[in-house]
Amino acid sequence: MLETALNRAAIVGIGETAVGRVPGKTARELEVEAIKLALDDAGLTKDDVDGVLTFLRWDSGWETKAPILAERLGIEPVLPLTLAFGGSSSTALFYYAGLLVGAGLAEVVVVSSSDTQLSQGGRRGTMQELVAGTADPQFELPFGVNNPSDYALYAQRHMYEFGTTSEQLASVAVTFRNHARLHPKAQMKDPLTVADVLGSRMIVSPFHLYDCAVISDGGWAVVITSAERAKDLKQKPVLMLGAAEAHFANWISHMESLTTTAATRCAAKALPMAGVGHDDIDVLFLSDQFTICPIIELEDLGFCKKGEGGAFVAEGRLALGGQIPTNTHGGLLSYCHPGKGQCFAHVVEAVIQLRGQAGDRQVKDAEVAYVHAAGGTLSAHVSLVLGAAR
Amino acid sequence: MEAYAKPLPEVDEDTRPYWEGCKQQKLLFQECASCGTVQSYPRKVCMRCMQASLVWRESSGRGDVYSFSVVHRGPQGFEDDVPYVVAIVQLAEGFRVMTNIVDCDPDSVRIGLDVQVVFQRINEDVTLPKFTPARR
Repeated sequence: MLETALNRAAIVGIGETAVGRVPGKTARELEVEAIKLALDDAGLTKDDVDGVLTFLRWDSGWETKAPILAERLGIEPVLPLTLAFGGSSSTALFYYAGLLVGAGLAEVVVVSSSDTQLSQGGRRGTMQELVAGTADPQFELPFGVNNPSDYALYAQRHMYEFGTTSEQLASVAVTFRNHARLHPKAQMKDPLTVADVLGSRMIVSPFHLYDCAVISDGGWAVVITSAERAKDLKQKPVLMLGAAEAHFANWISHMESLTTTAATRCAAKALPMAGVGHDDIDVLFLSDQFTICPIIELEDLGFCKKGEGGAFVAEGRLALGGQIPTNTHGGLLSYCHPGKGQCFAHVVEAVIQLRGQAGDRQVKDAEVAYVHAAGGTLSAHVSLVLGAAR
Repeated sequence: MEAYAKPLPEVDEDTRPYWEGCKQQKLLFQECASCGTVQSYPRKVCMRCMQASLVWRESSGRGDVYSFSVVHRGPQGFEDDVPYVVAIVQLAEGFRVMTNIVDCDPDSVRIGLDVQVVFQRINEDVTLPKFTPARR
């Protein structure tokens, strides 16, 4: 393992509100509720906190700024940071929080997120925001692109170059739905088959309805402090072993390739930093806003060869009990997708797995988890390698 | 006439020659006189060597479909257009643009399809470059 500031940090508390459709609450209320849950989980109070990291959400613009959130909680932070570069911001913040704690600039950092895309955003209005945020306003938006059509361009190209099939795409949705069915809080729990996915209405070719993530409400918070201090707290600490971030182009029409992404750089850095190899990963979390995403990420992160991701999933390798159980909570496709908070629930589930608290979904003896978030239009990539403290 | 309810490009100093070119039925692109790099949207400097020695060239308007999607549920303003084709076209000169493939059956579009630029005049300020299957 490479000694870095990052691996002097540990995740010691997690908080998650109800997810899915959570009517009658503002995103701000959900965020505060999640922070309280996370501090209680850690056995810490708000007076221990000196870092507040959050990011802009779809529903309330500047109101999410970290200093305002801190003020609401009566926290006087040395380090209020607000990030906004797409869904993978959610995972990048853990990386930055770990670095800040490890470098001694802050002692206890709360990373939080919330959104009410489903209840308050209004499906139509929220999707307009999504579109405006993820496409070039001058050279893409005038042509009627939307977030699903951007990802569809990746899928079509992957199918063309490697023969990936609609059935293989559907198997991603089915695998994660099976996992969600084991999670008491999951938004989508009805049984789902490959035929169901292929029979659902076409949204943007090649994506049918069930190739697309759900839209959700929810609030999350995670508490990060030093690995040293973590030893005396309530929960078994989860160590931050490695991380990496990489961006190629921002807008999709300027990507050099639609089949190879900046995720390639993430695994190449994060795994050596953590001192582990692919075979050491017990449980994997991938961005799955559309079914093509995990397929490309598996390839780019090196869990299979380029072009073989579709078959890799269809063979059942990502299922609980399979070669590398992935998105054990059900992912963005079936657990929930709160917008900019994207992969927060992935990180929370990774912590639950490494603590051994996942119940029916528990991966036996899970010691190392890999989380990869890919936001924007597969443009912003962040990987985290997490390990259970021994 | 009904007002045009779709997003329109907000032209700026760097991109004005491109949009002026479209109005004159010319698809322009920037090439770096220093290193020869061709870039797809107009910028102040070359994305490769950062020199400001960019020159405008006129594209043949011929290319092929790099990727595409048939949109069945479009964003606001495009509801009545579905199904329509969103595509990234690779031009013969080596740059790519986001566009629509028009004047054809959406289900006939394939990756690799040879296409030719056509210009759609929206109003006196804006003309959009779109593509249609190339005539043989």
